[in-house]
Amino acid sequence: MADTTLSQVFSRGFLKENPLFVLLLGMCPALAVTSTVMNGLGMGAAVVFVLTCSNLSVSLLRKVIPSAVRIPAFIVVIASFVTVVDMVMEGFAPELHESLGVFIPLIVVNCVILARAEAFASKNPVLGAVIDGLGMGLGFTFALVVVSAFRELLGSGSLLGINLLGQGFAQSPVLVMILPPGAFLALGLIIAGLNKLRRA
Amino acid sequence: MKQEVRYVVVLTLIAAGAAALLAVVNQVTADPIAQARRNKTLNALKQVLPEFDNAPDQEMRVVSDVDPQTMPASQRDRLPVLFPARMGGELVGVAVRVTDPSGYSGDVVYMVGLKGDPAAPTVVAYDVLSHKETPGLGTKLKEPAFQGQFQNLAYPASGDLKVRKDGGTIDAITGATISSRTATQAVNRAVALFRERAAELAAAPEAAPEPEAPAAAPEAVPESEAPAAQEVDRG
Repeated sequence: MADTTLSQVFSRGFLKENPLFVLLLGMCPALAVTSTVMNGLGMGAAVVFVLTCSNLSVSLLRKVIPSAVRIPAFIVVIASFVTVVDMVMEGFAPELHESLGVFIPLIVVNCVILARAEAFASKNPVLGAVIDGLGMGLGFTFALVVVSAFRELLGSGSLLGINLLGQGFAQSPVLVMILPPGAFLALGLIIAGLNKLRRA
Repeated sequence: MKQEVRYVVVLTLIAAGAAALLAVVNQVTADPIAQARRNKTLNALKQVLPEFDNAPDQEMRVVSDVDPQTMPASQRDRLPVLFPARMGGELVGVAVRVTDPSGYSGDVVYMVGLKGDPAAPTVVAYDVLSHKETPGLGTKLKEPAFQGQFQNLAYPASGDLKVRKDGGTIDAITGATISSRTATQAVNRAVALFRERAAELAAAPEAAPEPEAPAAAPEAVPESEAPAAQEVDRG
């Protein structure tokens, strides 16, 4: 890892090591909240914040935390930032908070965040850790937006609530796409497409 | 031994730091959160009530025949609540928050606005406060095509609002009759409570301590009014 530059650290989160499409981490929020693009963006923003802050803190504390108790220490750090997001969002974006519901508190157990703390932030200096957090977080957001755009377009005929496919389609859309099975279908199809592209 | 002490100290310090951070954020966000929750209720009230100049949420009455404080919070939140709306001290309408348990997947919480003579009330409108209905089907409870049928609706003299399938006048949402029934049931329930409590709400502009003993639990509703509706609609 010593020979990767910071820009590589940042950009690998998007495609090469995209948490959702390639590492298949953080599937629970990705499947549950991606019924609209707005939800995808909101969840993505929350994850970027938590991931960056937790990477920063873990990297700062990496020499203080004994390895035997590192997991509880990471979880305390992550849970604190998630609670911050939860409270701020409820106070200042109540509607988004309501539509994301329980999946905000559940960011605590999103494995993307613990995985980056464990695999990267606890072994690297602060600057790299922050950039890694941003890159992975934005990559995750990008993936959520792709999945949710796919689902919202087919399931509601709109993007960000704006009707694109006409009234006729909005009356009888492909309903299954915004139901839970649609999440699996969308994610599966997108990953299959990406795999095909990468190997070509 | 020394190593174990270090574990404890480090973890304690991290937890203390986290607690300090959360205390600060809590200070900053406590007011906006309270305000946001109140706004949600106020917005719903504005949608379902005629114009008013009081603060109905500060005069609200929880309808219960036992002291709500003795109930677990999950039950307490499902009690019906009355919000009297006044204009210049006169009662102009009442909004009733009703939790209907018979949604397709659990509770549907309504805010139903009523006005006029309690004997022959008019439904101003309703708003859905929370639900877990199927996206694309039950969620149409919030769409004008269905919701509009309840706007300025004279409550039927038969004392029973029903969907067409059950012999009533409301067109159910295609594919979501069960969700549609929760709306008619909620309105029936709200009207029953309105009839029962309107006189008392009109008489007392000052916020009286909630709830008096003879309050309307479902079984306390007079025979002629709501219960029939509740039974029939559930079928």
